[in-house]
Amino acid sequence: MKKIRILIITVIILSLAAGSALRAHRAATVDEAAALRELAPRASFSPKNGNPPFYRGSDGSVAFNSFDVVPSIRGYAGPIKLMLVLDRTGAIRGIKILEHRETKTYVHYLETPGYLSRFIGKTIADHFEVDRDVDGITRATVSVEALARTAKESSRLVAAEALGLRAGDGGGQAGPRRFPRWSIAVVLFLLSFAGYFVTRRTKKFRRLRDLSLIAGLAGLGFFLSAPFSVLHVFNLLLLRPSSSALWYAVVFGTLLTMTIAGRFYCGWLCPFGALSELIGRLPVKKWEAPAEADNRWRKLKYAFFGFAAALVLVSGRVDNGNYETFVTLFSLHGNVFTWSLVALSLIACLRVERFWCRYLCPVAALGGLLSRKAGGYNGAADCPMGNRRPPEISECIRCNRCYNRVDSGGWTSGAS
Amino acid sequence: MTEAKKFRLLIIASVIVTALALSHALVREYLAPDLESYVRRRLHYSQVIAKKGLGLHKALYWKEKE
Repeated sequence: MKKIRILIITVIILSLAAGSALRAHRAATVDEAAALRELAPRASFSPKNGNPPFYRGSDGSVAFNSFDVVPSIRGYAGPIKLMLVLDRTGAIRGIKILEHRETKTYVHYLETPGYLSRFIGKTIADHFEVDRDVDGITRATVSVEALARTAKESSRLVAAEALGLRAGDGGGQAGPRRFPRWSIAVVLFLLSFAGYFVTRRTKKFRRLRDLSLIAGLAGLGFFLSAPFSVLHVFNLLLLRPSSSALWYAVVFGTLLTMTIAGRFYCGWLCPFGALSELIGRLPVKKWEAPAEADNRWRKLKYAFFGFAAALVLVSGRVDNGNYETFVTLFSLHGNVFTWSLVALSLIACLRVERFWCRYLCPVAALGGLLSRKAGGYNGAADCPMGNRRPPEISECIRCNRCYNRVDSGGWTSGAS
Repeated sequence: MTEAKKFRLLIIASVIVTALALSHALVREYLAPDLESYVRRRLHYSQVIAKKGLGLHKALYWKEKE
């Protein structure tokens, strides 16, 4: 394990260095002139000037790159840069996404001209509130909110500067305040972590883990659509934090619990792990994999994790490292290969317990790398990971079935 | 077929699918546009330039001059 840790850390450092060097040589250029031609083909525009900077059109319109105006508004993984054209009255006449770093799997609909065309005609007096006057996109709420806020605030600032228009408050009533989504994730983490400690004390409440798994599947998976992903870690390494509170709740909740209790997230909250385990509980005879082959193939997830890290950190694009089945399943968007992987991983669980978690999952690899030595785990015949006795701690998902602790402070050696 | 063999086949299949899923973005982003542009150039050569009796390298030379 120590060798794998050193190898992965080396790959990450080298990839970050190579990626930084590449990006320094090849600074991203956004072709604003082409976007202007596309959005307002009949108008000619002055050079960009002013504070905030904007282009003035021959027909009295103004155009601007939202990033020049409101660089601090961020989506899930960074700013969403828009080219906007406003007419004399402060109404949006054209809108185009110039650049973003959101995970494409979640925001593919956001980029379509059909979706963006719904912003056309909105004025600076409008609310730009998701699910009120801006259509929400299921599983991309954070990105849609960032897009709407970027359009609203940049338009208002440029309209005030270039057209002398003030928005006021838009006239209408503000929409009802929704229950903050991040709080659901925080509650899930707190309750399941409490359950983890309870089941270490007594075996009476072993079923708490089943409840936690179902809550993870329903809450983090289907409702929030925010399972922890290594793409979050890659974004952190690329210094692209999010402005979403949900992002921080999920990322820091998972990383904190990983440093305290290893692969606790896999065993208690991961929605795909939950689904895999529930499928694995169906009464179908499991295959007996030879111990040596099983141990060897379990290292595969580290190889894929390292490869994905290298791809992402060198290219600077998190989409290049996206092969996670839970991202495809809970965003309901993927390509033929990622959907095939989802199907294969779930069907395989009928014959091999938690197939994806054991051999392929990059989050499992990260959890394994962060797992520290822990006493009391002796292995059990009904281990949901099919671990042998004694289990490798990096493969233990802390279900606590085999956990044995004596009150005197020592550890028993027998399995449950 | 033994269970060990079936297990090995399952692992190999999943490795292939995972590798394809990982390489899909790379192919779509980098390789596909290059391939497409190569095919376009090749077609243009065979349909337009070759009919004028110019060799590929000569044609490229004049294109650069233009």
